[in-house]
Amino acid sequence: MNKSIEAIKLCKRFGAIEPVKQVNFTINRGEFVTLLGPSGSGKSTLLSLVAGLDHATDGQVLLDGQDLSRFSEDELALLRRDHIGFVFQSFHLIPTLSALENIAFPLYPVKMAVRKKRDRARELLAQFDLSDRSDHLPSRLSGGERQRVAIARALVNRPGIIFCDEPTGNLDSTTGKEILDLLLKLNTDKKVTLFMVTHDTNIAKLSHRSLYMKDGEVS
Amino acid sequence: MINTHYLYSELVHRKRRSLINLLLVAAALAVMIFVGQLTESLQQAFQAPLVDIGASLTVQKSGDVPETMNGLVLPCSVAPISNDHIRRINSIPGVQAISEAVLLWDFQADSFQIVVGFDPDDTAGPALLQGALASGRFLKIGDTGKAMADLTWAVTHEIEPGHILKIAGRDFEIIGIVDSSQISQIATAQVYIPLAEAKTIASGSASINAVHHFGQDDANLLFIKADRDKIEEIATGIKAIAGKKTVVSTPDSFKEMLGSLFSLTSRFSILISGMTLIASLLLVARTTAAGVRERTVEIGAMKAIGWTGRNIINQLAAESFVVIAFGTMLGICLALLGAWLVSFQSIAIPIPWDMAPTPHFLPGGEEQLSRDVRLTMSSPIKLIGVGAVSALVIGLTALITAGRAIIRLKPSEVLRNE
Repeated sequence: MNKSIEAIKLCKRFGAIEPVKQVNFTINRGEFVTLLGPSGSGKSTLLSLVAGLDHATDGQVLLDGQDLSRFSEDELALLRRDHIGFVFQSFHLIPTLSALENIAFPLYPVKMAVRKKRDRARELLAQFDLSDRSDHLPSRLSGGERQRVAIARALVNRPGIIFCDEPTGNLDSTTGKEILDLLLKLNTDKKVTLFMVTHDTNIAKLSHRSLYMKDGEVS
Repeated sequence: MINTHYLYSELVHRKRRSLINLLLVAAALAVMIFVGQLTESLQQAFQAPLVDIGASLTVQKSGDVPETMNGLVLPCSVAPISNDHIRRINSIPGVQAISEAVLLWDFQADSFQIVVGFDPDDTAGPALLQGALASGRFLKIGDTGKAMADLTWAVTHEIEPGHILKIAGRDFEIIGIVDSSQISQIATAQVYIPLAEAKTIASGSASINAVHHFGQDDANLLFIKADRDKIEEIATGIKAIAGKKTVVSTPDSFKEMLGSLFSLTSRFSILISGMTLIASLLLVARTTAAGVRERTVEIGAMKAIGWTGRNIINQLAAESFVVIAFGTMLGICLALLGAWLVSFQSIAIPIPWDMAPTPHFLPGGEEQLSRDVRLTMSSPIKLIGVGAVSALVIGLTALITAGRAIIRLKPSEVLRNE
């Protein structure tokens, strides 16, 4: 199996605080891995390091074999644009753009015909049963619809890896299950690598493997 | 690459923020341009009394007060200026031309008249009355024994062309009537005679020479045309030549008469404009930084999903550019409107007492003379230029402020807000 993500002796320090301590793990391509742990255990910090949102203080992150410590901020942004999708707990949609525009948003800075960007977004909109919500602003969408838009946005650049930070945390159980099913389908059908931070052990049971984090260390 | 649709959505959906920024820019530019405009209008107004008589500055010299007011007298504010001093003043760098005049008070047994001698070919001083001829003809070079009378004085004294008037015992035939009210009251009199004859009368007058020495080629009023940028140096040079008692009137003399507020306004206009610009820069920088702070999570999310710092800066700069461009247009319109409203206003420029020709002890002599000047609006192109340059500075400040804040912002911010 090919390695998709590899963390080697990964450390992050903020002054005297060390939320990530000597973390080692590997995630293979097409794998669905959950990261569990109590609040304040360093899960989000670890996610930001392996997803290239922040640089590690020590150690290495290899993403598809590429050492992220060698990348500048802008190079990391381009890497995320081309290879990574994000799904956040609070959706983080652009409040002034419609559902369709939010899905196409990661492609705005990409040199690509406007029509092609729109077509890709429309295709995802239809795939997630949101066609009738195309022109709606996020404020006019339900929580589940917002998260579906966010997942569609994460897929618009056709990534190999999707990082999810508590994707069902702000949703009721029924909607949460719907969203989880969508993510599982992506993993199964499209072989997208899923790395998900969650508190929910029931979600962890659905994943291929779980990592447990406590006091900055992963077991 | 700037996404115009996203730009439009941000500006339209965040109306309050867009409007506040736009109004801030507009208000700052309007104040700055308006202060500059007002200062320039006032500066022009202060020059009006001298411009009326074709001069950049006037020179007089204060002297002794005559013991008795009999016969010919020189007012104490116009003592003789020697021909040697006039020649030396003429050689000061920046002096373009000097028009001489002789101002006399003629006290007779039953009457009094203010007499000014001038050269009809001059380009400054009473020679400018050429266009204010009410009847008869204007004095010309070579005229002797001829005089012109002021219209108001002539009407009061029932004097018409052909009338013979006695000045210092000499007969002068009135050949024309001029309306002196059409030029600044600095150079006006009741009777106008040729300069050479005024000099002859003054230098030969026992009553004048009892107080002063008035030489054949002396004068007591000089109207000087000069390089506008060198007026202050020329005034200093004149005082150095003609002595401490010399009174040099420049546009600043009229400004000082209006009191400290006007003097401060014009003196510190650059400071006021500069402070307004700095205040607006700080406000725009603060608002821009607040805007970036307000959008921290949004910018974090943009970075997380692959927008580079440059992409975001370009997008936000485009938003600022649109707001500043509209703010600039509005600011310029407001400033033009203010300037247009000001152009309906007039200001009374007081004439210093020592420049007034009428003795204070005569009826009306104590009245404060003034010249009503309508404030004018300077070229709108200049205003637009000033506005555009200021807007550019404001825009660059906003861009630098936003740019620094965006570059500092980590994409991991978005996870901290989960």
